Amino acid sequence: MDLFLQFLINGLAIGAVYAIVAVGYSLIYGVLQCIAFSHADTCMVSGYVAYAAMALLGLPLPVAVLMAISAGALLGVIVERVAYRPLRHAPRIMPLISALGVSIILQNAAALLFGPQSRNIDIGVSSLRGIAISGAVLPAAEAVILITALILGIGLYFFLKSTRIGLAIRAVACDAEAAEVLGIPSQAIVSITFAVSSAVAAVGGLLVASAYDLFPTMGVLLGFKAFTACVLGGIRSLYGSIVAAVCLGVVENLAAGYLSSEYKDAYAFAILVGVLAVRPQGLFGASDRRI
Amino acid sequence: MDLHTVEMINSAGIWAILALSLNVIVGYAGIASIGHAAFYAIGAYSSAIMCVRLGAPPWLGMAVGCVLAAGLGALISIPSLRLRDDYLMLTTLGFGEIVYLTCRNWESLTNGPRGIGGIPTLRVLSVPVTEMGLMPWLIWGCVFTLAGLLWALEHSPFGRQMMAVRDNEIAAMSLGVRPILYKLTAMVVGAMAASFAGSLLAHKLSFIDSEAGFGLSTSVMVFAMVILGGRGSIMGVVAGAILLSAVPEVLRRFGLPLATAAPLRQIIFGILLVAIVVFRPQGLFGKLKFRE
Amino acid sequence: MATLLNDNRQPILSARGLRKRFDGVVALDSLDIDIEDGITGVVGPNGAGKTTLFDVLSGFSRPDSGTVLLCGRRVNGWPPHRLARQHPGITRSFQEIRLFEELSVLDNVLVARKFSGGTTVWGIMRRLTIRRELRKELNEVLKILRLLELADLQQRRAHELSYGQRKLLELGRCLAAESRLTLLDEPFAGVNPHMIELICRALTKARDGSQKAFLLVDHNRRAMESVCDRILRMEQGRVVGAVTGGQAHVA
Repeated sequence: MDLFLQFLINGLAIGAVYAIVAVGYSLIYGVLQCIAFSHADTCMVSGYVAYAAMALLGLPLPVAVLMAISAGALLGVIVERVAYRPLRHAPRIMPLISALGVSIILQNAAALLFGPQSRNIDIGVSSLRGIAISGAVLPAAEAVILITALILGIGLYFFLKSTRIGLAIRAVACDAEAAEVLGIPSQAIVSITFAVSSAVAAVGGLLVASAYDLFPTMGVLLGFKAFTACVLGGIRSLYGSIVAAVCLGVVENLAAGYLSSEYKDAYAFAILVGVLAVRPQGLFGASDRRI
Repeated sequence: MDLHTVEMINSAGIWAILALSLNVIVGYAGIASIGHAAFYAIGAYSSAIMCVRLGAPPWLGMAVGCVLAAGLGALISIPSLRLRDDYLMLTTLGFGEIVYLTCRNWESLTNGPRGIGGIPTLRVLSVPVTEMGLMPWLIWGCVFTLAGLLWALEHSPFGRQMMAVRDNEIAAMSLGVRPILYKLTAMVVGAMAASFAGSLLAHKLSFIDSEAGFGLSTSVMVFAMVILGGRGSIMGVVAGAILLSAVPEVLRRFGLPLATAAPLRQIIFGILLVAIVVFRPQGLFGKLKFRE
Repeated sequence: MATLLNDNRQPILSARGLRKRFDGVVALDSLDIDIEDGITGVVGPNGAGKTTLFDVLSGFSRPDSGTVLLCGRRVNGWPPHRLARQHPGITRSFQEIRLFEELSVLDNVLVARKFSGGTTVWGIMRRLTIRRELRKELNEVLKILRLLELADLQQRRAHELSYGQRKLLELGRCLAAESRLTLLDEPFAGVNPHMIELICRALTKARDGSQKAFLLVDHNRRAMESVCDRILRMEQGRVVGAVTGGQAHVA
């Protein structure tokens, strides 16, 4: 039982990270109807920005965090402008290919600048002991993840529900042209959505870099799993995707613990194929469109 | 002509076969597959395992590889009917990763990163195929044979119907054409040709391991060759293969250390992908853009 | 009191020489039109170019040639959101009813309220206000919903409504938008007589109270004659004549 609880706790933490990254996929898909393939690499870039700020420039943590989040948001806006916007009328696969290109550029630029070895950023909790929960331990770093994810989630909820921009994003996600006739500049809203999603992803990247490892291809598996979570929950359903992401983290960790940890990354893929075969619109998605 | 130049020519030839094989899938059938290295791996490992462990003759190793690859290809053609382009692309990515992970982790079968060595050299009529000797002729002979076969396919009624399915599946269906037949054929043909390329690689290098280029970066590179050259165009994708396989060479001339050259090469590919898709989606020699 | 043409004022929207072709089919053939205050109707057979005219005037389609003047200002090629944010602005409804399906009835109308009043994106960003504090806007929106008998449904999602209610909701969204001119594409189509009456009442109220102008396209002759101040006829891409306001609504 102890082992189960431990796997569960660790799975919740990684699931929270998947959820943070999944937010971006879902929001961007809502306003652009396109899978932002390069989204997860924003996590990696932000992680390196913070690492460079702290380890190379010696800046304090809060400054590094701020820099990382700003860099992430800026990157999102630039990538949207360069790789997605010119292709908004092209067949869906084109932005996916250009995003693939962007992803390759970012990963290899990081490898070029920082080398392939794993790094870590120190947020000052490494000396703290974890919290004991009836036989299992919640490491301090993972507690930070859970708390941060909760705060982000609540913030996101109020942002979308109660602010003018949040309302505009939701409107554009429903029908961009109908939003336009009411004065909403849908193009600008897309940029803002990228900025917000990327800022959130940046936080996710910082969490991963502090609690786990930071390396150039960090975004590949992270993105694939977050995307799988979106497919499982229904990519148009933001909260469905979040729930699915947390579940995915838990299931993956349990399977890796009890079955085989070598094929850990294959479980997500198996889930992806399974969902696409049986219910492509996801658990919470509407069933009217051909996926 | 020194060994190094011949090695380049042989290498380019294998890439050309890969690019032609992907062209059938991406260009003729319109399935955006970025898991193509999986078939390459299957061919290479089939040849390696059959020849080294079981002592089988090379042609048997190749045949087994082709059959296995065809099976996997057929499997992938099923989701290609139900899923739309971008979801399908990500599914193929997943397939490719699964095969790569299996190659790396199923050590009892593949030896993982430690690899399988001692793969025999091919013989044509008792003449060994060596790097400097027969190999360029054999490989490029295969390239031209494959190109010829594909040209025939392209201009056959079957090929025309395949492209009709690619361009407008619903309209094709209304004319009584059944998409599954064409997509299945395309996947199987493409898979088998890629597997053949993998077998050639195994016999050429006489040693393969899981890190020899069976992962996502290889799949993406072949995909980039097809896109750059112009999908659907035989000459285009061969040109794309030659151009992109030459990039590492060009970088080598600058005398960069490997740690710098390798990521730089990838960055160039990434920039090319973005640039082509944004500015010239039909590639250098292609006439078609992606279907609407 | 009928609101009639006021010849001294500039027309709100004026178009000259509009031409638009689609692959050999001439949709607009050197069309001239002046849209003044009040409710203007446009009738004509299918294929006369009415939808194309709407698309051009609302910024969804660029004319091949010709000019469009909004209160004397040239607005050729302006995108829809820019036209909507102008003072005076233009908004429209769609033939196929385009609502924000996942949003509530209230949110659907509230979106119109918040963005057509001339705020720029940067202005919006500077004023990230919590909705509840803007009581005035909420009241305005509720007034419109009550007028269209949709107030009880305010928390329902748009996709849960009946066809007629959806039509009314789209109209409500247009009314809430602070635009001077509203283009309505077949507002009476597929709607029962009681709702037609609601629509007409809402239109006249908006015309008189908020000085909104409307351009209507519809096939329902009776409804058009009862609510429009003037009716223009379109045929083969041009405006060919006017049916004067003789049968227009007189209060």
